[in-house]
Amino acid sequence: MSEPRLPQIVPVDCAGKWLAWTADALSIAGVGDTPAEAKAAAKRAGVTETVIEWVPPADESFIGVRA
Amino acid sequence: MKYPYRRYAVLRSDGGTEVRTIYRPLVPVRIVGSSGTVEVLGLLDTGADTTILPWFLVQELGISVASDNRWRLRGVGNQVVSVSSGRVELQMGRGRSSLHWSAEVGFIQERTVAVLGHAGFLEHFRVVFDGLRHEVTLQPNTSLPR
Repeated sequence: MSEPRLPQIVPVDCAGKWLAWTADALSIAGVGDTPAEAKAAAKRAGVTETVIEWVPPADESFIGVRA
Repeated sequence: MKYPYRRYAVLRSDGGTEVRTIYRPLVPVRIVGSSGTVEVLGLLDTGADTTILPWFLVQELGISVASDNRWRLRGVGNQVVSVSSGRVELQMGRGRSSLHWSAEVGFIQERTVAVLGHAGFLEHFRVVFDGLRHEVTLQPNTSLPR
């Protein structure tokens, strides 16, 4: 039986950005400074159904809501 | 429902330049408002009393927030954040196995990860974190409509 596909590793240069993932949440389809920018980038790449995420800075350990 | 932990390339938090990969338990959840649905990745946070979502959802989904009912959240370091509360429908899964429920959640204006805490989310599941396999299993409990 094949192992389930793992999500793409979020690269360091996506830290602090909004991501628009493909609908299966496995691949990054768009990146932006706002959710709208990320979705627009995904749309330009041909992906219209997305899953949105904000990525914490890469040089800080994350412990919950960022104040 | 079983989900792999999400993987992030990060730098050392002490200022070092070495890049390493860490794992976080985030799962996809759909947020439903009066004008649409947005799916987000939310962090399963057993240390959070409640569920907190980013503000863009308020604007995009036409969610009514109670300006006179702001919640005060205190985190590590004693920092207090004020958020507005609103009621949304949450959905997980697809097809016959999909789950949906209504919850009062907080909306925070700062950029943030969606935090799936006890009230509004974890209270509805039995959750097993498998740190060795880097996967989390959510089993709905009897509080959710079938």
